[in-house]
Amino acid sequence: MHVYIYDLYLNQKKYNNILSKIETRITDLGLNGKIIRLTETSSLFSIIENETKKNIKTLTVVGNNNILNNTINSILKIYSNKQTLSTNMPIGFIPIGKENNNLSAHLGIDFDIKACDILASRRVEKIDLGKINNLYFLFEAKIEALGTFIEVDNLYSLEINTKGSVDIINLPITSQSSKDMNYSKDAGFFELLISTKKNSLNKNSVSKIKFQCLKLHNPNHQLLVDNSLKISTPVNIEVAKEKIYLIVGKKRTF
Amino acid sequence: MFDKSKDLITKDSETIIGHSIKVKGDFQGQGNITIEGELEGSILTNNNLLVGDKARIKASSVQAKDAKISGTIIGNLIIKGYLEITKTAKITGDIAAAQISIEKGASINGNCSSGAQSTLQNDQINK
Repeated sequence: MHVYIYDLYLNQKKYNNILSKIETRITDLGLNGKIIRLTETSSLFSIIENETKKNIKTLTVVGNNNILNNTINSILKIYSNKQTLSTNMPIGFIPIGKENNNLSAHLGIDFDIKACDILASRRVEKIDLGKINNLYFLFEAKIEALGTFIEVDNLYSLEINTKGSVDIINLPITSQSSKDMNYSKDAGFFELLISTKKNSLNKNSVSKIKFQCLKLHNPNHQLLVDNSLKISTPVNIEVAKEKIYLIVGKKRTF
Repeated sequence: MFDKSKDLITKDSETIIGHSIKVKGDFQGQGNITIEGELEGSILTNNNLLVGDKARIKASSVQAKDAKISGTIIGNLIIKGYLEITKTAKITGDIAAAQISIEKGASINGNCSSGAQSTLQNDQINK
């Protein structure tokens, strides 16, 4: 059985037309199933917990970055509480609306109706996750460099005294530096990229370190996670033991 | 062996410590390491080490397979293979490497030994 969960903002009338077209397309593709619309009082966690007790084939969330991140965290919280459940059930994603919805491009998933065809192709990818305190993330976390103190793998620390950015990368999306520095993914490791300006030449100076765990603190700035959530520091960041299965498109960036 | 261009940051390095970064502690890496900033502690890699001309290192030991030093190091160097010391290098400490090349203008204040036996003896002493 397929289960679809619609984000709260999709209850607005302006989305009725596109949702109707998506539901028609899903039916045409033989992927129709149970549709659940979030309301002001409903809890995504409780809904997912109830639905994963049944034997569902795919859980597809419809919305933007927020519902995707919250779904991944809800599933992992359920699996950590009830260790008998498997994380093999793939998560599908249908992005609707451009606002706060940039992760889909990196998953190779088009917007609206075209995302249904990605679901039908069922290209499932097993993806490493990052963990920031008790929160899981998929792509990157970012913070201002100036004033950031980092302790890496319990071996050494880094101090940064210049403006710039610190990126913790599982799968790269926003970091221009990662493109410049030939980013490569090693299983079980993340990449720490620090980009600061050189004073004399006004060129960027880039530092690059692979790590498994780090502690990060900046009293003046918050950490931006997957371009959607801001968290205050200090935080512990590590490669999560858990992995997630996502339905992705051919044009994914990893 | 090393990038010949003037830009000392090489894309082949797995680990790069850029300008305005200060490292404290036991710095380890499996791949090539490039250091352009400051480091206080120790350095250990099984591959190549590149120390830029603006880098400042104060270490109990600096160990690598091959190394090219252009910056300031206070501490002992143990290089299993080839050590290249350029004219801008300032080293205060003992050096042991299988092969050493020292450019005119480099400043070295310490004992210097080369040949395969020198690094073997240093390994045994350090143990």
